[in-house]
Amino acid sequence: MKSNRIDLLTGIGLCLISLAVFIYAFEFSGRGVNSYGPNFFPQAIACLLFLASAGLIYQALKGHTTASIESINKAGFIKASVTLALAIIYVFAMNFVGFFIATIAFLYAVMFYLGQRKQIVLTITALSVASVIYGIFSVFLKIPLPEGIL
Amino acid sequence: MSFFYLLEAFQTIFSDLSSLLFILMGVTAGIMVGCLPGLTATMGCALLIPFTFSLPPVQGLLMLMGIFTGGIYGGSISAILIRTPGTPAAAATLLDGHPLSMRGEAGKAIGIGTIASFVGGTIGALIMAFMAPQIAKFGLLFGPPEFFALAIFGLSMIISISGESLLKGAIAALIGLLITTIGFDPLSGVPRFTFNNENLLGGITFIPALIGMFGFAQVFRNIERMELVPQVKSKVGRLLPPFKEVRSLLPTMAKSGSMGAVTGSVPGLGCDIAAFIAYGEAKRTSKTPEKFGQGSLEGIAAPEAANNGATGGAMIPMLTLGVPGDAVTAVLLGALTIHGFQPGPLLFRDHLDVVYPIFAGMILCQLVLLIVGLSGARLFAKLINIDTRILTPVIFLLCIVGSYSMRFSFFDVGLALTIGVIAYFMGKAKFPVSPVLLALILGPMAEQNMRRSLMYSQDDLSIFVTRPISAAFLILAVIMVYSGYRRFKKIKEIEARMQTESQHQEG
Repeated sequence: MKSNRIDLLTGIGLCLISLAVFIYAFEFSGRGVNSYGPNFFPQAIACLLFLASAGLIYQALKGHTTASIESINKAGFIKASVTLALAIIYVFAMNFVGFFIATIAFLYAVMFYLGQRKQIVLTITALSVASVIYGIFSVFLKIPLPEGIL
Repeated sequence: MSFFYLLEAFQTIFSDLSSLLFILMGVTAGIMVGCLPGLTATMGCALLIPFTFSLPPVQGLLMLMGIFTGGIYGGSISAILIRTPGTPAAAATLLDGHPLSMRGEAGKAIGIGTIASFVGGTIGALIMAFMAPQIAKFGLLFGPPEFFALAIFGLSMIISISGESLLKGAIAALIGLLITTIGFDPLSGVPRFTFNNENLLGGITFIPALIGMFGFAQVFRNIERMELVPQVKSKVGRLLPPFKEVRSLLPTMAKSGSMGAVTGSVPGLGCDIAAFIAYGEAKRTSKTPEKFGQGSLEGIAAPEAANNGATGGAMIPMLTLGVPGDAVTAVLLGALTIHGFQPGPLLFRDHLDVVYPIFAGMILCQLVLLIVGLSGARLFAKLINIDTRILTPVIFLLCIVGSYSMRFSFFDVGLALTIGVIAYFMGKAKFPVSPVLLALILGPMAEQNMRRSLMYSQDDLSIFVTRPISAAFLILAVIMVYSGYRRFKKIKEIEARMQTESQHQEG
């Protein structure tokens, strides 16, 4: 699959972003010590980004796009998305049930979802990995992990 | 002079055995990370930085360097056994490593690879220990205009790490540069692009960005790939090669190691390119070039010595000038900064107590690598057989905990996840991620030094071209971009010609 269409859309999107950055950056001016104040660098980069994305659009329109893009495997993509969703739930759950319990549940759920069905493997891995991580971070490195409200 | 400091540094390390333990842990973890396909040395360092927070700086750094050395070496194990380089640096090793393994001589291949890594790595570390102080001395002459020009030179290297499209590499770098302007402007104190979110006042923090780009994105890719590629199992066989064979390979190892160190010290070239250059050179000068690609022992010794030699080389510009040679050294630079040391010429003036243990540690890492590699190769080979359905969730968990632990902040976890998703799609659309990382490091260096120079020159832009060193770096940057572009065109032409030729043959 050629990436012309995706490159075209990305190029347009980046052009718009660089314009937005350029305009927004005017707010930072006025307080600099010299005439190259805090707005200068972002605006210079925004100009370059605009030019580069214009180049991308030009290439895409002329069909010159060199790299072909990787197609997305649908089943794999869904799997990755569900895992991401599980991770987000895990991060929120951690605040309620605490790091340890949430981690065991998260590991168990993800391994199960990815196709590991052996109960013994699931239980032992989830328990031992959670304990080791908890031990290293909380006890050894003294990083305060969320305890939850329970 | 530097020899004396080096001896003293060895003494410091040996006086506290826990330092050796951290090197051992680092190298072992590095080999593990390296030999697992899908986990690179960059990712290993990124994930393990949080573990070094509470360690004394030197020990933390020793551990990270162990991961670097071990990771680059470990990649060869899976390259030889299952024809999948565990890290990009081992891509050249599989050319001869895998044919050997098909003949049932995988153990011998790994053995030679280990010894070559040790020889090459030691040469690289020694070159680093004696060259770096000289370069740092030169760096002391630098003022803001020179550092600005150096940053531009560093950014021009992006051309060599851009992959398939130069334009996309440039765009990725520009986005990285824009990201660095988020947060307080260090010179005027004006908050920029923070959208009134107090979490962004300090800018996008390095660790979450790193874990997002190299951790989460890779995990998503690995999960997707599970659907596509079945796992390959590995076998090793007899390990230690006969001494006679090793001795005949020593000249190749020594030459490739020093070539690797020189290649690695050029920012942007890195370990993978060093390996290919050494492989080509070994083939050119070999008495039996026809054996290359069929399982030649020289064909393993050369790239393995070179990629580990390049680890030492790549540390030189990072430590002396603050310009990382590749993605892993960019991570190490970040780690040094987190531990409170700013890499650059001043590091060599003010913190010799850190610099020389780094050199000594790098040499010790190679020794530990040899011992661990030869005694544990069988075990590491078994790691390749670990079920990815178990490994991937564990890595995912480490990414989450790692991005949290820098500031104990869930905002950072969300940030890392977001960056991970973006990086995943960038990979799909063939936008390379490494330029973003390089830009994150060089961006602030470029901006601040540019504005400082202009304050000093009262807005006169000619300051950058009238000072000789600064002008030289800018000219080098232009040459770099131009020659990189020419090389890129040439490769494209060859590819196109090969395509039409194969079409002719089919027609």
